[in-house]
Amino acid sequence: MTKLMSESTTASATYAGFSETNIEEVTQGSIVIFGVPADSTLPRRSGCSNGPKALRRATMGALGCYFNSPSKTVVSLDSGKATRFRSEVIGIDLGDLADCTEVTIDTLKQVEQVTAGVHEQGGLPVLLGGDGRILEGLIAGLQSSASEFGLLVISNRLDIPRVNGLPSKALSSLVSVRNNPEDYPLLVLGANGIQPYANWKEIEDIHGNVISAEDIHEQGTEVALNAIRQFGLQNKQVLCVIDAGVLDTGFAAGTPGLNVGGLTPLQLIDILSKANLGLQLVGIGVTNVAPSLDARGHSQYATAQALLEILGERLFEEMSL
Amino acid sequence: MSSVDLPVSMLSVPSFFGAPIGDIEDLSEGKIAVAGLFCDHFSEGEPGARYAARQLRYASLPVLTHRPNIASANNIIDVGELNIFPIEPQKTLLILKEQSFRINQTGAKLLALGGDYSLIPALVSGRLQARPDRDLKIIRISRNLDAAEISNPQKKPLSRSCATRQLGEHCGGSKSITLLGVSDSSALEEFEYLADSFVRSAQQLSTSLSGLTEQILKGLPDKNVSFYLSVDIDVLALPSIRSNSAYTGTGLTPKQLTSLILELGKLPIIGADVTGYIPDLDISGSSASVTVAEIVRSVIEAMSQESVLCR
Amino acid sequence: MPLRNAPLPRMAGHLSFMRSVRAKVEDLSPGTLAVIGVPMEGSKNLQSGARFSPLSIRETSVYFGWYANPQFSNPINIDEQEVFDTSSINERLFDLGDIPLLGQTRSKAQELINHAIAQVYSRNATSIVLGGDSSIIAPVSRAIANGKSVAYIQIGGKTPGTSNTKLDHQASSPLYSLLASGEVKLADTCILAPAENPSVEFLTELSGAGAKICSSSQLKDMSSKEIADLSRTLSNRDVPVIINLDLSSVSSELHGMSDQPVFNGMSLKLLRRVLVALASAPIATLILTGHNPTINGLSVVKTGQRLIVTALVGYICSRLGLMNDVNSNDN
Repeated sequence: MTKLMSESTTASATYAGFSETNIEEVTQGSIVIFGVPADSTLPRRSGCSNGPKALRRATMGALGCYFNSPSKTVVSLDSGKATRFRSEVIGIDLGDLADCTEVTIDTLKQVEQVTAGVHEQGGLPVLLGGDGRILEGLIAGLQSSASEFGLLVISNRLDIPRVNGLPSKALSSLVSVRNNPEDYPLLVLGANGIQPYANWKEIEDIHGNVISAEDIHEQGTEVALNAIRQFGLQNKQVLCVIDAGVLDTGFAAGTPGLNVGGLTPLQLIDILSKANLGLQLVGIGVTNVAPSLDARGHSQYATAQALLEILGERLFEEMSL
Repeated sequence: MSSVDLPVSMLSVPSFFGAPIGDIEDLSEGKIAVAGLFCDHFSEGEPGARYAARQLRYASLPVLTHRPNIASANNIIDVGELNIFPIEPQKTLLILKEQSFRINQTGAKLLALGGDYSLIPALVSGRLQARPDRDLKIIRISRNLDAAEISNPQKKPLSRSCATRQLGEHCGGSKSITLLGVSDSSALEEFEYLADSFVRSAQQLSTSLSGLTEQILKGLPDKNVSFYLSVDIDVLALPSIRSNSAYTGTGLTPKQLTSLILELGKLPIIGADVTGYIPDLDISGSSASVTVAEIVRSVIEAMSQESVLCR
Repeated sequence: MPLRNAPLPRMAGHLSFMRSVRAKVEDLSPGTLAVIGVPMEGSKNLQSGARFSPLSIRETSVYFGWYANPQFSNPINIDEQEVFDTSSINERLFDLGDIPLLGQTRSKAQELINHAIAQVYSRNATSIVLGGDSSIIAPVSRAIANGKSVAYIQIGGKTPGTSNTKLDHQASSPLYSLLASGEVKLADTCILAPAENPSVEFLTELSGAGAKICSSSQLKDMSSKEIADLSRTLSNRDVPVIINLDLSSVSSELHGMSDQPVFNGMSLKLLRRVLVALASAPIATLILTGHNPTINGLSVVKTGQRLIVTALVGYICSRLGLMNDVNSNDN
């Protein structure tokens, strides 16, 4: 049975004020948060083990304006739109996985089991990482329980990194093999810098797509949104992964790697606020948040806001004034 | 007058130990003028000591130290930073000498903080000009001897490596120099120059301070003598407190240094300096500054003590 | 003859705000501007350190000390190609130091703040209060209100969920306590570039009271005259006008010194324009909050402090009437 360190979160807030309970309480339609405080290893910088806690705290900060309103509704001064936080949504925070401070085969197995368990009971698993390598466990858990899904990865890399003796893996190798040439199983947004050609080629071979950070800088967020729309049309179910490493280091340095020329926090939040994938999501992963490496706190705040945006209509409702 | 009408007593801008800020007209016999030295580039080593005076003022703030100030008990006046000319060493030497002369003429004692040792001979020569009637000896607490031969004094009038020799020339030769806290390895030529000086290593001092001041006085022919105390932070054996000499792992602890300084307070100290401290400029570096401020506090106490050994 | 007869290097000596004259309350008079530090913070902040803000702002402000130096009295604003005369700043800008708050109880500290600010205001001098966190706003405002009410312009910061109901699970915004105590009326409020979107309830109340609220994007589209009219309208109501400038109004990537980052805040250029425009009206005091200098740790050159002082210099020159008329309709 997977152990959860629920006592580790009793001293701090749960995600968005969700109730802290067990996996057995997961019901259909519930949003289920669990943390995997697995740290990164050399040559990348360590600090990801504090990611889940920092993300929870940052989320509470981002939702402060909603909780201050008696009706949990805020108005955007720029767009004039009113948005309500759906406090009736069943949200569960399982806490952090126990004994998962390193990325090992056991850790990946645990992530897989929790993910599968949540999905089988009808919940939406939301993983707060932790090193990006744990994505493999999240994907494996959904592959064992869900029907086909597309993989939307917002990251500066075309692979998940090597850690603790586990080799790196190309993103293309994580998706199920599909025979239909019309399929569009993988979309990567924000890739940046020099990448292994083999990874790039394999993505092309499986009819995936890559929108680089430079594309977004030059053409605006619309190029990413167009790709997401197309991707959403061709995939009934989507697993979305937000890698904090996609952010430009000058804006948000709290990630194990460095990324010069990455996305700005505003670009990331803007893209996900308009993605409209909330109801198609079968799972979300947020990885590579290392708060101790960012004194300014931008990394966790930007990523927490991005996560709230992608949850979209699952968590928020547009109201008319 | 109601309490609302009473003027508000505000905390002024930071000063050394919360001392009143003043100028030459506020100085007189019995006062200690504490001045900063915003200059650290006339000698080799890492720069940064120019900020020491500022950080020591901050380290005096109650918000950082959570303790009362000592200013009123010790009659110190913060006279700000002394003028220097950063790219003109000769002019700097002359103006430091002149400012030191003017301060000492008032009867006050000068305590210089920050910067590095290369500036001290100028201050001492200003003192000598103000009080030529007094016999002045130097007590230098430092890891280094800094007694290299003076080469090209016109081109390089300020240099740390030969500052001790410059002081010796001002005060009548190497026998006027006392060196305490030196490390065990120094250049032979410098040791040879200091053959007539009173020299004690850090290791010797850490064993016992008993009778030290008597030993210092023993070799001096004239008991009607004053002392100038020069303290360099490089004598400390703490890597967390940076100085402009490389850390070697040997030296005195802060407690040993303050005990030494207070012991030297039995001698008539008419001027002093604390140099060579490179502060960490973030708030997190304040603990090192508070430690150095304690050392400065002990120097002030030593300067304020009535000498028991000399008349 | 003084001890020194040559200028000092910029970072040397006693660091008063912009190297202005250190003064006492008795030295103030109409037309002068006093800078006062209030190094106080509560225990609800995510990170402590706001109490070091006055010290750090003064330290950085010495780089701008030449404004207050009578030898350099005609700088040119290179962006606007405009020369302005700063020769009088030396006689009109004073640093009063910090209010001594360490070790005081909360109520005693508030009393001291109240007393000090009331004294400054009674001399008809305008002031800049260097906080501290937002807990200083209420006692400063109370001192100026003196039993009546004030107009309040909030730049950045959080807004209350509603002015009527106190919620118990988030820190109240400072504006809430001012509204609750009656020192500020909703109709005399103006909120610019708030750090978060306001609740629908509070927005409805503001609209009903005729109060203005603008995002940073909306401010960008407003002319300087329109922005100046915001403060002029309030000052025409015969109440003292207070500005609270919270650092959360500025995009966090420019400074990184707020507890909670804001990614769509103002730029420095916009903040300067806003402050210069607002200062064309008679402002009783500007209270700076939300600045925690211990967060960023960028060693000597503190970007956040530089940003704040650059913006404040524009405010000071405008408040002392040294800049050109801000009736321009240009953005």
